[in-house]
Amino acid sequence: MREYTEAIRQEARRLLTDGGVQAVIGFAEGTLPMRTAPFFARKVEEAERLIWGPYCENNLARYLREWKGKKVAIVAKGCDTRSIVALMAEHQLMRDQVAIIGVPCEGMLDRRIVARRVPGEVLSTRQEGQDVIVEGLRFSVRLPRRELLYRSCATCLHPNPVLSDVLLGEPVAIWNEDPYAYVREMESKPAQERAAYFASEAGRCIRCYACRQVCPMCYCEECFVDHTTPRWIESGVTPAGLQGWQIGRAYHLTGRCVDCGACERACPEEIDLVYLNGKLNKDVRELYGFETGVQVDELPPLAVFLPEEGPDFRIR
Amino acid sequence: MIRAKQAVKASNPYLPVPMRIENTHIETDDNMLKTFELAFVHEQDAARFQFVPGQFCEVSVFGKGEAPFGIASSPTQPGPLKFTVNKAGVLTSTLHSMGEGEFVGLRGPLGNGYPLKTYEGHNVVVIGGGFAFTTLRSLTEYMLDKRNRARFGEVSVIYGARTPGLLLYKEQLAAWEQRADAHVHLTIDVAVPGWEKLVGFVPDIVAKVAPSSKDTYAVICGPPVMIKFTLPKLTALGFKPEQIYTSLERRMKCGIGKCGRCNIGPYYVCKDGPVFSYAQLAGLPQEY
Amino acid sequence: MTKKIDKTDINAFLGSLLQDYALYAPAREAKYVTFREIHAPEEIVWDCLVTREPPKDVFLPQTEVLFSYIRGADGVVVQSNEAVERERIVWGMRPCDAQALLVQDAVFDTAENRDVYYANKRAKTTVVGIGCNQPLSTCFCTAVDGGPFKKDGFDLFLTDLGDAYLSEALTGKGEKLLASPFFHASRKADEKAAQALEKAALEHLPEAMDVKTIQKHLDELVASPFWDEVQASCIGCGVCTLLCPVCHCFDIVDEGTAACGQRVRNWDTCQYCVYTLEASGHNPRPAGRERVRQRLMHKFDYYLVNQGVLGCVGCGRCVQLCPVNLDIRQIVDEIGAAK
Repeated sequence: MREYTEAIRQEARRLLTDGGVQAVIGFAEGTLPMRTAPFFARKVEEAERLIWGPYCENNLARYLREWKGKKVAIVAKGCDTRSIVALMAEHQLMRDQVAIIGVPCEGMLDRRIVARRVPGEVLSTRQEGQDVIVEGLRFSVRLPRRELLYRSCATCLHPNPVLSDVLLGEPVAIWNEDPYAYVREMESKPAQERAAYFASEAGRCIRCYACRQVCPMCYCEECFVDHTTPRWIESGVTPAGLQGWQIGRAYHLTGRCVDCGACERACPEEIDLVYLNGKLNKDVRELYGFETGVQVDELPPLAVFLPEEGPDFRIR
Repeated sequence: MIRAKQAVKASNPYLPVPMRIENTHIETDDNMLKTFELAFVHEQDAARFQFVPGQFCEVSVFGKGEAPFGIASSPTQPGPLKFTVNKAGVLTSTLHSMGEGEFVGLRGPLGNGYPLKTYEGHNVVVIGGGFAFTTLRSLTEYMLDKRNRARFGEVSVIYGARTPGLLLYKEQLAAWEQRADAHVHLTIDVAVPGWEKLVGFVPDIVAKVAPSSKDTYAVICGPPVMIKFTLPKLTALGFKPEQIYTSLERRMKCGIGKCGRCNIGPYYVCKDGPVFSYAQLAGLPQEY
Repeated sequence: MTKKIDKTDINAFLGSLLQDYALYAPAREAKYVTFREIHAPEEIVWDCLVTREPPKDVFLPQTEVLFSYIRGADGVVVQSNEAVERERIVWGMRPCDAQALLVQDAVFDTAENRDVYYANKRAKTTVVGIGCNQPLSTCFCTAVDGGPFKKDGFDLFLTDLGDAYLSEALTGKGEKLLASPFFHASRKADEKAAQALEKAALEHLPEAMDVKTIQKHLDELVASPFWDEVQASCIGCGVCTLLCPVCHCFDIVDEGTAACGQRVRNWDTCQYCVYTLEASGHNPRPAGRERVRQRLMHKFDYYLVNQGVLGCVGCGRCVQLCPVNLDIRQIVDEIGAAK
């Protein structure tokens, strides 16, 4: 796996010294194996804590809303930069307020897959070429990295930053052939089976809203589930409440989601969220030829109506 | 749903008892504050209900939920319980649209109430602002009742609103003003024609009236900004934190110290309060 | 009284229990293991130390109907169902989760305003625990006055001896289970083996935290910029609190119309931005700073003041599941070391 740690630290030091940024948003070492923690380096000395690795799984663009009006730098993978472009398209962010340290990404490792592939608690991991050595109290297992990627990373079409001020490496080759294979697989199933799958996935939801809170695009000051006049969705963990929440959020993200998978990684119940958002993204791609956040200044089709669009804007 | 087998009204603290709206009365000229007189539907619930000034009830508007309201009437006054409701959200808007003969639910009395035993033998200065006067009305009525009056020293009321029309309980205030055994100072923010009484913000009026802090307790309820500026005036007059009491407001749900919502420091506003002295609040996060 | 049950007999014993009890145990759910009702002993997963969800909702369901109401001629009639008909067993609870139950008992099962929904479930439940031979690296029960073989809160306590479970009854409910013919006499050697297991487990667990110092520092840090740093990466979701075995805040809502409906309580969390939001728009805890501070102070200060015990049992779920790896152990260390 590529090493970016030193390059990130160097760039962070430069930006904090005379780049005019109030903070560099990146990752620092986590307190657990296979984890990193979002970190805000505010002083030059703090740049030393920034790291890069196969567990930088959060979409840091989520934090940009807390730095409005201030200039910050952000360490961004392909998907993160797409979020930045999407936020700019929605006027949530000004280009000159963010210094993007672009990192061509080789995909993040799914710590849950790793945990399930070994016979005990994971105490440490290390990269060796294209393999990951996973170690616990009484085991050491070698696993190919290719089998351990998060699904959103395994199917990623945009690992390279679409926008950046500094690019820390050569673009990586796209490794995925078909981004929506898993969606097509679901689409081919009969309706009853799909409905049962959705109901059983949504049935595990505990309304923790980690999916919403971790998503860069869920920046509404009042989420529809918190609205009381009227109360759109029941608050409880009844099927109506849970399915209402899942469907509502997916629809509010249509044409806005960048397939980063942060939601699924945050979910403590490991609900399949990527397929739901993936389906809607696939539809938007096919109907409107639009992929969120890839082209700067491209107008999101569901947020914009142009007079010249005519009656064909309606879905057939 | 099966009906519970025992007399659950006493043993299940979440169940409200039915109340009938006997009367409603708009207190303020902006129509936002309305007093509701609620009577118990069942005799045994009325008999069981014993309260002290400063306590509150969780009033149920079925279909909308429950909200806490301070009891504005005094236990010395027989008849329906009075609650004054500010129209602010879903529940209060619905309640405002309800009238005589309609039903709500009630749980209570809840909370600690004003520490009457502490106040006895002392002077009491009641300081209120805006529509935060509800339980102060209960307290004042209680102290001025002929059965209780002798146990308290001087009773003063300093109460201010933005305009005359926004003062609550105008009839009550007028009756108190007539009394020789109470000092009532009413004020409005800015002079208007026809208003002969004091003009000025409550903090300034407190400084002007300058109640003595000797053997005196101050009880203050009002919007945060009023309290913020009045406390230093009281301190300047010699009131110590343990001499100043307030009734805190927080969003509440269970009202019995279990759901956690109204927690401030180790206290639950619903159970350990809502009445606190400033000595108790010192050092706690200012989450109110 | 202490007896023993062979692992070869355990499923038959559990099968017999299923006749008379509803059984909750660690079992597979989608991709992980969590506490849920089981209907066959084979569903039980024995080697999961920390279930994804704690057994919290066995006593405090995430969504619970408090009562239904219907408008009549002379008022609104309220009907509730607090009775718990069936006896239940929670099987395989760990000492941390049992300690959490004791903390919740102190809040819900009070002499005044007893929460009958919770209390009735507790009364009808037998809690069977099992000691932790191999704590995880995220476990820290010993730091918060707990232990891998602490028996507080259990009716029956099992120790995994390898081929059998040493079984100690601690209450009448536990004795009742132990009366089953599947249990036979244990030997002194078994108890020695259990002690050795506890000793071995303790070697992997951290030292007790300096509770008094942390409480004192928390009181002193109320206005400190320390909280701005701590909360910087917190995204304000509810994972830590909803998956915490101790946390029990709840919301109460009416579902229905003025004419008929239900009053329901749902789990809630002090971490949501709307938790303390008032109808006027005023929010006493307006930012992450206040909310993160509240969680830490409630767990390591206020619970001590009110209940005399910590509000954290060291299960490590929040540590494992926080989407941004905010680690309560690290925060408490920083609090201890502050100033």
